[in-house]
Amino acid sequence: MGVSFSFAKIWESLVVGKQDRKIVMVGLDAAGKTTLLYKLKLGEVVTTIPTIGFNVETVEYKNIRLTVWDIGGQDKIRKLWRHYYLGTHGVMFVVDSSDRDRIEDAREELWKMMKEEEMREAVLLVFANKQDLPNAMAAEEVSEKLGLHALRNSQWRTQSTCATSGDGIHEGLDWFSRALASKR
Amino acid sequence: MAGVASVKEASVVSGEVDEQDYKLMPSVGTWLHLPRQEQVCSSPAGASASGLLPTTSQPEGGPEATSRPGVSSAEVLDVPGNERCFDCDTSCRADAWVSMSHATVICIDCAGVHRSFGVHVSFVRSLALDAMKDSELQALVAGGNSEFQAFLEEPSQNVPRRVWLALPLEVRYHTPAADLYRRRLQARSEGREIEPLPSELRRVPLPPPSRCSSG
Repeated sequence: MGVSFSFAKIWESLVVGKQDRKIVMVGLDAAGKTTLLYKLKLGEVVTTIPTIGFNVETVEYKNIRLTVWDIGGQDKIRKLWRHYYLGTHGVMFVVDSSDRDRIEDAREELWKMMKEEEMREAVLLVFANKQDLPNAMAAEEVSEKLGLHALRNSQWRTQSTCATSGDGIHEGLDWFSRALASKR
Repeated sequence: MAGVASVKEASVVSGEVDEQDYKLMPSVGTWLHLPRQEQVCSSPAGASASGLLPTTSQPEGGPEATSRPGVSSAEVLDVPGNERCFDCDTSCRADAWVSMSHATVICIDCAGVHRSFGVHVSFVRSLALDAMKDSELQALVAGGNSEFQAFLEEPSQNVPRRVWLALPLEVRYHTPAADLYRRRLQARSEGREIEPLPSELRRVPLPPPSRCSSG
């Protein structure tokens, strides 16, 4: 089973030529990470409960195969994020755009992560999620409040999304997969 | 999809989470950090009680008495009514989540549904996995499940427990009564008690159904 699996994998990478990329998906609790992950994976809205630990799924998009690690965002388990950083090509950072009270917390967590040695070169896709909720911040406002313009080493983009309807997800992935494909 | 639901199996200890306390357990598409069953209780009261505060004794009840010792999360669960989920009566002793917007204790499953409403309706925290502010813990002791229940049962609201439980969860929190209770708690937490607390009911539209269907 293991042999045929790895053979299938090699065959696929030779013939189909999919590139494998490791992605970590982080953000404050209740930002919509797990909902996004399963919307990406299944195209469906699943009922989620708070993630204690993580979920991991592979998602194929055009010529690229993303292994997405969706890691719980509760205050006291954020310190576990860094254990997932090694070998990461890209970050999906998910923000609840309607949670104005905690956007500063999100900025702090994002910067703490992007300063880590393993993450300096990672491609950063910020999902300004929950655009359907009242008083949601637009993508530009989220970028500004996260201080993204001061990020020196990374390619980044902020994409407004509504994970439950799927709006914006494909635009985000289009940019992300192109940015990831151009990196080794 | 089964993988998402299985997160429920994780149990949680209260207090500080130490990464050494975790081992990884495989599940279907989901991995869990399972904490050791050790109660590492970090009571915010600990620091103030252990002589870190100035030792000069102050007259009791004096104007300086506002820095009273903190409330622990265990005390939140000791308040009668807070030991069970407000929305489904599941025991919350082992794993308590809270809706700060209603100062209620709920279970992890109902917490998941609460989070889907958005923070303007329900701001959800975990007693064990979030750094709860002392003011939040105090609000949960002062308020709590039985306070919200008593409010709903007032003649002006007239929402008995059986009616509450019969409503779909999404509808419960978009009722004018729940909305009014939220606004009252908000006014209290902002110290606007001198003004009359909100008393007028208002219409609360349910979110459009498109949010719940896949696009």
